[in-house]
Amino acid sequence: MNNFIKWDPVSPPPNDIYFVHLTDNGGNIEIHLAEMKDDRILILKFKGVMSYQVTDEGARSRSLYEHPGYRGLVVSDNSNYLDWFRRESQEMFSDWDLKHYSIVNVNNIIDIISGNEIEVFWQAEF
Amino acid sequence: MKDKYEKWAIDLSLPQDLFFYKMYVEYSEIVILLKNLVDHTQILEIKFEYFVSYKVTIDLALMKMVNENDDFRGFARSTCSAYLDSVIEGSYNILERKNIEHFVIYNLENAIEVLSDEPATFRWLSKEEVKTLVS
Repeated sequence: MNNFIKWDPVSPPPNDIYFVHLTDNGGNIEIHLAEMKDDRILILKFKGVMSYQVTDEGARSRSLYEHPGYRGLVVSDNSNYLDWFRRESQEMFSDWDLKHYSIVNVNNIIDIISGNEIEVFWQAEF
Repeated sequence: MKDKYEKWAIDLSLPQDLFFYKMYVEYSEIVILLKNLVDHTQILEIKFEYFVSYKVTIDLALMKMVNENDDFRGFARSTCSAYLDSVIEGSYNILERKNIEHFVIYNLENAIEVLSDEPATFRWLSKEEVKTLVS
């Protein structure tokens, strides 16, 4: 399982991003990430989030070591997290076209289960 | 192995029902804000200064967990859970040496689960802080 593919929601794609902060307003989350070399912030806004998880990168060493392609922004419709969610919710949301988005950055890994109401854009850092 | 939870005794007088207001994360610190269902001007702040992992799931999606674990309600804690095991295993068991616990804050909107080896702090926000936050 865990069939992740590259997710390219923004141009230019980010490189070497690190975590700045995350705000959760109850089902809507906003994530700010920064690039190491440029003065700009990548902002991701997810609406209708069903479940999400933030894990320190050290606690995901196995995923990072064993899956070299698991970097940056990736997406899956067939992952262990989605499988767990489907079991826990007893398939209540099976026709909602939910996906598992992963944001793999220098500090942590953010896993999100949501539909496709997502905004991603660059903002200049002042 | 089945998860085992126990009541998490909080050293603060808490109302029966709390609902999710907001939470934010900066670096390794999580701040969770819950409102009193009866009096929305009362906001409880729960702060973890360090976490290994945390997970938020809408309450409707946790039917199986709630049905199978009577203690997975309100404030609970565990040292024996699938979430804890998966994170320790994901670290190549490096985290096994730390005394990480699984804390659960199950409110009217969602379940917030935090894995941390640091105790959380609880406090009610002052009227001034609530006013600033809401405006």
